[in-house]
Amino acid sequence: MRALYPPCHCVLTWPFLGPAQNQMQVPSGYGLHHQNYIAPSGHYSQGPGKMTSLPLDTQCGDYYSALYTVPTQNVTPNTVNQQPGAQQLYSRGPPAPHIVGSTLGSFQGAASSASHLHTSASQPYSSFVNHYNSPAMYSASSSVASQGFPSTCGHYAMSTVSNAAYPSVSYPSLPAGDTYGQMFTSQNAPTVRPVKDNSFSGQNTAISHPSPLPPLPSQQHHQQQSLSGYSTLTWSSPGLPSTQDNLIRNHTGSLAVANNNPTITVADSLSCPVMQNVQPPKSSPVVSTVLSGSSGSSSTRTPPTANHPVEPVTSVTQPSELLQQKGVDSSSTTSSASPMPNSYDALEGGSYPDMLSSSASSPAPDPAPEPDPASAPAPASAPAPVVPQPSKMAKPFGYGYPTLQPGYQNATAPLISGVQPSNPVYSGFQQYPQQYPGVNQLSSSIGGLSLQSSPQPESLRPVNLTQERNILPMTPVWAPVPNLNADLKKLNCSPDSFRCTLTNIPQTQALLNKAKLPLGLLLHPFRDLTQLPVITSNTIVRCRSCRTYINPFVSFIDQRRWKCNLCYRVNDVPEEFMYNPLTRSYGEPHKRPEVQNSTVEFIASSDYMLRPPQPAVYLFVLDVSHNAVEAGYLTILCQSLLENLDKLPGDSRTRIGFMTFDSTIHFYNLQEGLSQPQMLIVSDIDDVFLPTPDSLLVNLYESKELIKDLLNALPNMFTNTRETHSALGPALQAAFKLMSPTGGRVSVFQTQLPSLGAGLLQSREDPNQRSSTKVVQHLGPATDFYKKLALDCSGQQTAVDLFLLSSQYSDLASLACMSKYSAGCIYYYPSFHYTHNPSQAEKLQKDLKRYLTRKIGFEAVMRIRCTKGLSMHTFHGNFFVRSTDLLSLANINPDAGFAVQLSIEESLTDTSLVCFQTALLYTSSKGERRIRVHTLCLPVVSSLADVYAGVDVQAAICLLANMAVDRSVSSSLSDARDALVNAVVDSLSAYGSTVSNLQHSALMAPSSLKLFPLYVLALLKQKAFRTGTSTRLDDRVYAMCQIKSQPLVHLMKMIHPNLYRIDRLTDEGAVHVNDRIVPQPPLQKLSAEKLTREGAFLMDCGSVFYIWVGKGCDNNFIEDVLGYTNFASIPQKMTHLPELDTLSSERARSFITWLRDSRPLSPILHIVKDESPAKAEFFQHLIEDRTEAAFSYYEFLLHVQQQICK
Amino acid sequence: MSMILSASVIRVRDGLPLSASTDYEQSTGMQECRKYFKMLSRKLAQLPDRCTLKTGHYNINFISSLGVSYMMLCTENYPNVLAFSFLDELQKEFITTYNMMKTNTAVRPYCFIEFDNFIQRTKQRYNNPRSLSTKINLSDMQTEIKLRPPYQISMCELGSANGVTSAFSVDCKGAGKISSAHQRLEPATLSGIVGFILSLLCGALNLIRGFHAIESLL
Repeated sequence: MRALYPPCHCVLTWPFLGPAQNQMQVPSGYGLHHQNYIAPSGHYSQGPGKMTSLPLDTQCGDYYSALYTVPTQNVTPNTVNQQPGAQQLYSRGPPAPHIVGSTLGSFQGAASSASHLHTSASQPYSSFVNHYNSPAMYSASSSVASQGFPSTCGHYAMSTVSNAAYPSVSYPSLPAGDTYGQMFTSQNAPTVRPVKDNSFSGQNTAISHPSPLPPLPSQQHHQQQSLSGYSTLTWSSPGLPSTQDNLIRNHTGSLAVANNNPTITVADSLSCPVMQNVQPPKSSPVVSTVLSGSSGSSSTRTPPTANHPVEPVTSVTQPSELLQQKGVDSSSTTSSASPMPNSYDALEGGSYPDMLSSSASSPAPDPAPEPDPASAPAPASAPAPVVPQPSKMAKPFGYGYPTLQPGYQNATAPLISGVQPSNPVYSGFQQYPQQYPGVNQLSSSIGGLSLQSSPQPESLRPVNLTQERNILPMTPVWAPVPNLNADLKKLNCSPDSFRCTLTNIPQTQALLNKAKLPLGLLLHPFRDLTQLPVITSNTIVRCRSCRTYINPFVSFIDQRRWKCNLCYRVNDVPEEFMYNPLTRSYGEPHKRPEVQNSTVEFIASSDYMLRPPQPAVYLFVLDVSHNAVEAGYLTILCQSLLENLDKLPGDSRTRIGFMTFDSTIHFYNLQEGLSQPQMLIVSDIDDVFLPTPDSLLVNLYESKELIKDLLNALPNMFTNTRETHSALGPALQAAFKLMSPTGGRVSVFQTQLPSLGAGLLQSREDPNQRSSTKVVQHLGPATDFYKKLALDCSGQQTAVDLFLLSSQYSDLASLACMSKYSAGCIYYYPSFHYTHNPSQAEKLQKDLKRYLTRKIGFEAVMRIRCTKGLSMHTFHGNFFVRSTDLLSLANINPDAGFAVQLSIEESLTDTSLVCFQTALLYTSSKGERRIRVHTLCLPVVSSLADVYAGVDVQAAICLLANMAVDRSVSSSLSDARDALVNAVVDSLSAYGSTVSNLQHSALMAPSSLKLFPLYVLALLKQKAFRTGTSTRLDDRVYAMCQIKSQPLVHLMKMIHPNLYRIDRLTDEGAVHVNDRIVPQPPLQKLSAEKLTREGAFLMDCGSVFYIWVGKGCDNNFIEDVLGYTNFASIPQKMTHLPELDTLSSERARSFITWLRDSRPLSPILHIVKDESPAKAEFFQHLIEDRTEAAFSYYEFLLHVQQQICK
Repeated sequence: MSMILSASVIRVRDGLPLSASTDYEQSTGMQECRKYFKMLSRKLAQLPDRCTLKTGHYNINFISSLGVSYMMLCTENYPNVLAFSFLDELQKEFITTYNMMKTNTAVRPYCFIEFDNFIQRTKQRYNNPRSLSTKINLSDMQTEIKLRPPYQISMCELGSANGVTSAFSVDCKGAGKISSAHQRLEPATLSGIVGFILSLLCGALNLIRGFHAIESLL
């Protein structure tokens, strides 16, 4: 894709730059880039997704036009919620300020809420500024100091000084005559006016015109919020018009492309409420029955005339080496084509316009003004030593790992030296610039030298794996903290949302290859957050060339310009950004919340919309064949829906609809005004059409009574059905037609193999092969019907979520495609039955509660950007890749995780930090367009030892698991298993070769990697990858689906469960959570040797808890915690801990509750007696033990060692 | 077949969309028209308060009042009277539902997207003319439109080729608001071209003279 950008850059003379910088090349002609950028996506329309040409719609349309009937419903003006936006905004913030703001209705209320939102983050910075304020520190930094922002601190010092000249002045950015004006009257109107600076005068006049109309307190609510969120109507700033212009260009360009779409017109604005008269086309009977009691099955049903078996089209791709980073060729690689070239990519902004020219445009460290030849640590280390001795390594480049942190110097210093002299405002600063670069680099090299004698960091301590008996730490493993200086550390993104497999990024691809470790990102972008700064601003400040959002890791060259940390372009700071609504001061762009928080959310302007924000639309597609009725899931689903109907996310526009299917498809007319729901049966499954397009998806609030009636009636409607067939494919086609005008979420409940119509499947599983050690077949889809359907849905902003509740093989590998490519999610309940399998029923109930009430984002796109030189090549998760780096997500839910593989294309020698930014643009359920931005900053290192020191072993394992899933589908399971073992062998042998002074006979690993072999072994014994143990194909495929779509925290529990001994819980080391004392028992390793017959153990597998009770377990525990007198009286199937009034019961329950609270899906508890047959479930998770088909941990280590020595 | 396809509510001052119908049509013609929606919304302040734009198979009608404009897209054969009474109805409902202060101070696009519910229902009603006739009195609207016909925007005005905005001050007088005259670049006339060539010639001659003067100095 990048080659498509023409290298168009022109020479610009920047007015602010001194003459020395005039020849700097800056990529411009931005609009041109975008047109080029769009062009290829137009070409994609030839790609897949040309299925289901739907001639039917037109038939339908014509047909109905003849049958115009007169609806008689009265349209009453609805009372619309008066404050939708304000409530939505407030709901993000802490609750307390909300109350203040709404009740007082004063400006102070809003202001306090805003400040409250940001206090925690602003604290570090305030100290930071004090630091820079003092001239003493300033000189100190120029002499020795090695940390921080030495080059930029001068600016901050200047800016504060200039503020000091008129200290109490604040510049609320207001347009003249705006009604906000009144709010500012309570505050001191600024009277001091900076005479020197002409550019400020505009704002002052704006403030001096407060509007005479004070808004009513009740209506003020929203205004205040938006004000506190920095919404200001702007004076045009120099940077602003051109950005908007770009966006407009993008937009028009995108529309032009969208015109080419082969799209489907659904004749949905026709209204035909009276169905009894309808003569269906092509003699397919449309039967209208009134739902009362158990009617509905008496209608005539014609058998299907013809089935269309779809030939399996499986694309076989060449296997490639897992660790070569060159793309395990899966469907999610960037080369996939777009079915619907919607131009959200243009909306969200393109990627780098021109990689080649940007090296010229980016101000690389300029050696010219640098007087010190002994410095420059970065270039010196470009050719990394082949086998560096640890002692040797330390000398030149600062082996001092713990504090080696050059900070921003490399990036900013040289530019400043050129800029400063020409800038008259900062005249006091002129004497310094010449010293800067030299001083910075000198200081960093001094820092490096001084650390030579420092002890080796803990993460590099060599561990002899075969000698270490207890490799697993007693406490849970946390994400390693990137080795940044303290300020950046505080600002960095939380590891819960954003993790990298290597927290020290190697400088070159060669170094990365040498380390033999996977490089990639693990994302959890839409995680439920308790605190999230929401910013409403007229201009969202972004880099003009790479469209990066401004973030804490950009550098401010001066008050007026900032340098992008991803492409190094210098951008203007828009006028609006100069005003800081938090402190209500002017001229401190570095204190804006965007620059203070690495996770922020913007309220997007209409430039970020292709269409008005869609309402929340939910469609439920339910299997009601005999099999489904027998399993009895309908009762649970309808009950959950009834309970959570009011909690479904959405605004007053929320729409809901229901479809059921067996061998025919049933629609439900729920239009308000009807006395009861109407069932409409379409039996022509070869040519599905919508009987009444208008009244099938209805407003939740207007038709609530009818919906409730339907939900109450549904479980009993099909009790006597004899229909065993399942026409899932046609039902999905109908669902797609129903959803395509708006988009939204389709929830499909399926209980068996689809056996009729399009997308029918055959059983592919051979039960005798379940425990085969050789080949596991049929991991890929049998038909591309579901994938095509998903791509069509994705194009219409519809996600399909699959709930598979089957007792037999249902070919999840094929069915899962409908969710994978439409950004849906997959739930699987093997052998579900509402009475025979109560734990599954309970799990479904709990999952549904979460599923129905969790946050949801619609019509979303996600783009990941990274510093120039790095590139992303393979994405993992449920989504569709629309262009090289744009993921199209019809829906986004808080439980979705993603992974990205990275490679290093250009060496990163001229930078000390790299940044990654994900931007998720979505429509909230309240109809707001929002952008959630996460930014992660990591240091770059040049030595192999540092790379090993920064390994995040959990992230690495999760990425490897994702890659292995791709491999097992594209190649074979045994290939994937080999690749996993090779990953351990390669990385450990690569490490072994770096530490040559150690004995080669032992299997050594750095402390950061010590869990790597254990986790890989756990993966090999995971359901997804295990061989030799009987594993049902659907179980295996489901485990793979979960690996691809779960966020890291959940995935880790799935791979390597936590085991605790809980019969002797004490308060030692307990933590206090909400007035509860939660004991913290140590982690036990997953081995039967730790299980004693006298104990009881809790295993936390993420989605399920097991409590194993030993035979000789203390009767006190059984009595106090389980509530039974002795071991023998414990029932076989026990899923709850009774609430007993004893200390040990309280401890156990509070511990389990605490574990449960930490995850969105509340897991099911199984109490497993030592003798019960269910104990196999428990014991299969003891991965350190030997099984009949797999190594024990020690054997695995020996095997690895053997491989290394080979 | 005549029908209303979509409608939206836009603030006149800055073209901020306040609400819109979200029953998205997908045909290519519609996409084109959505583009016109955008273009129009940017120039609402300069347009009279009742306008029609004919774009091939579709018509765009809009009315503006109290700083808010109500825009609708319908097929070309949809009766004008019905279109404007539809807009009238939207306007009445919008004004009663949302107070002006709020519409003036809104910053987020589509702040009042929930008005979509009403648009949706009204649209359905108007697309079904037989149900409609009993409910509204069209004669008033008919006479009003006859007396003050909507201003027809031509495509070239919308295109505004090179100027900042197009000059329609000339024709809009009858329709209500008089927009101020706008500057616009125009193609050079013959006299302009002649003048330009002559001045070029003079410049060249002066240059030659200058060279000669320098030569004579040396």
